[in-house]
Amino acid sequence: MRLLFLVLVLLGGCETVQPWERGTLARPEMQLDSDPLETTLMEQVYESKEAASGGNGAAGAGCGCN
Amino acid sequence: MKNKENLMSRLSCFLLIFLLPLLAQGLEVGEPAPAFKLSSIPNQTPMELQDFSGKVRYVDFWASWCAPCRVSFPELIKLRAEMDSENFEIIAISVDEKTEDATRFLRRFDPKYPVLHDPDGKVAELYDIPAMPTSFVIDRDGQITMIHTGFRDGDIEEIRAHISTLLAEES
Repeated sequence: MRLLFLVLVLLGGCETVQPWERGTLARPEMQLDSDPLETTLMEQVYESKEAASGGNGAAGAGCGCN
Repeated sequence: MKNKENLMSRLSCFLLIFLLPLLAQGLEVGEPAPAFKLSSIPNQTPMELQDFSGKVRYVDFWASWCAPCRVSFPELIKLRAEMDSENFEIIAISVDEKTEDATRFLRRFDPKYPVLHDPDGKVAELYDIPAMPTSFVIDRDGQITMIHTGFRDGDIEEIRAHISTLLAEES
């Protein structure tokens, strides 16, 4: 029971980031990517070779819509 | 037995406290659009929803960091140009924290309709928007008739058809 209480109290500390508050999360430096420049170059090569682009991650700049 | 009852009542209490907020519902079609008053960008002129009463209104919540908003803006600018300004208005509401971010975005598109600024997200919270962008079509009586979330290619056709129907019905 104490453990359950502790878990519930800790869960109360979690807060949902609302869609209109995601500006900071959408910044390039907030992406889970250690080397954005290398990723961009790799994507460029991939797009050139495959004649296709996109599908590399969550779209919509963190806005949770598309 | 007593312990079991005690445990059950405590559990019910916790479930009520933690699950009740999840039941909170946002705005729905048919409800009256909540009133708001915000400053415009870039002139800082105070404007409110009531300033456009009697018109069909398209309230669009957007942000400079929202990728689909880059798709929606040119389409909305075209829609605004097509529609009768006597009976229709687009009211864009930026939820950018910094005015400069919104201004930089607007320089790229130069919309000819009012753009308001909601830096604290108070109006966004009032409308309980589920995603970015989210738009609300409001009829002449101030009722929400359509809620549109996100923006993909082709969405503008659905929005245009809905607004045209409203304008035809009410004229």
